[in-house]
Amino acid sequence: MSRLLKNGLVEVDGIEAGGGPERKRYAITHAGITDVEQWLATPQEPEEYLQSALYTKVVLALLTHRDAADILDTQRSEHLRSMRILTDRKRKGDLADQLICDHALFHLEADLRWLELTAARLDKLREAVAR
Amino acid sequence: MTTSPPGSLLTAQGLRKTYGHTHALDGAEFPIHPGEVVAVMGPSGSGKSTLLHCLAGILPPDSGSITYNGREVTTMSDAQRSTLRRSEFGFVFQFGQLVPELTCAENVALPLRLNGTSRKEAERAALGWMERLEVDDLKDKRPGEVSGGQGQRVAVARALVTGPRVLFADEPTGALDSYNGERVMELLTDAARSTNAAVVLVTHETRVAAYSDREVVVRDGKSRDMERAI
Ligand SMILES: Nc1ncnc2c1ncn2[C@@H]1O[C@H](COP(=O)(O)OP(=O)(O)OP(=O)(O)O)[C@@H](O)[C@H]1O
Ligand SMILES: [Mg+2]
Repeated sequence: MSRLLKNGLVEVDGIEAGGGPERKRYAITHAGITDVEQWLATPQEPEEYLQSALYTKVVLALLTHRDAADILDTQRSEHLRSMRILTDRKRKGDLADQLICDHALFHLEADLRWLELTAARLDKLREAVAR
Repeated sequence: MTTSPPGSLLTAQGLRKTYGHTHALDGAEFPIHPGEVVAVMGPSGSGKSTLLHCLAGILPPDSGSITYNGREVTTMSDAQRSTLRRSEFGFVFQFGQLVPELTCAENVALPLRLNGTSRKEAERAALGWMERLEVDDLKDKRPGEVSGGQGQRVAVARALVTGPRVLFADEPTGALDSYNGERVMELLTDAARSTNAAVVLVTHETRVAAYSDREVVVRDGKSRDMERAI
């Protein structure tokens, strides 16, 4: 807040005296609005998931000849456990719940789609080697 | 008599089905309880649809046993099996299941008409289900005049109109975008839960499978119950 204040993006709008400690009310300045608008209009840089523990674990497991299908099925089962909870929360919740749960659900699904593709690729590779 | 897990509604044990040299099913097992939603997952060609067709009494397995409500399905006559399907089961597939010459409402009412329900009664029930699936405004349209997502909701209404004990769904959201897929799953599972129907849901989408209570994975014609595996 103090940084926003220093940069002139917000200003003190008043002081509220209540029962507890006094609270300062801030208001966004014109510069602040422009700044937020700029921020919202700039596309977010995509996060790359290259540091994931899941990735490392799966690749190591595959390199040590563990069964790809088995890794996929047990990981899916674990992911599905979380996904069922999120789906349930989404169904019972409001729009905000739906948005946040969907965001998480699509990312969890992406892990599995990658794992599925990897398992299928390894199967094809194995077939080619066996031939 | 085969022993099925206690309380299960539909059970398959040791199912085998061969097409030439292909072992489509190779000793698959499957139990489902009333009111349960079970996702059937696994790679393409692993035997998911074959399993569903056997469970539903559409396709006879080469060997193995299928028990519905304590009755052996594999030894029934074709007529008995067809009665079982009509009165106890509902079906939703990926596409092309509505009769193009009939209106959407007539399509939904059709299973009831085939069971001998009067036209008036069938229409009333059909409209009730179409309302629940939010497609009652399409009642007078023909399947060719509605979108894929709308058609799929009509198909779900038709599958539920007879009050089936088991609903078989093979990739029910396969042809739909994310929004319509989610909505169909929500409406389908809500409806199934409210009538305590069991749902066998074949899907390769994990977000769709997340509407299930548990998942069974099929690989090379063999099944793996992930709940028991852990
Ligand atoms: N009528 C048929 N005649 C010959 N082979 C068949 C027939 N039906 C299925 N098969 C074969 O049996 C195997 C299992 O098929 P099935 O349709 O059950 O797979 P699936 O898991 O449903 O696949 P998908 O995810 O692609 O729908 C496949 O190898 C398939 O080619
Ligand atoms: Mg299939």
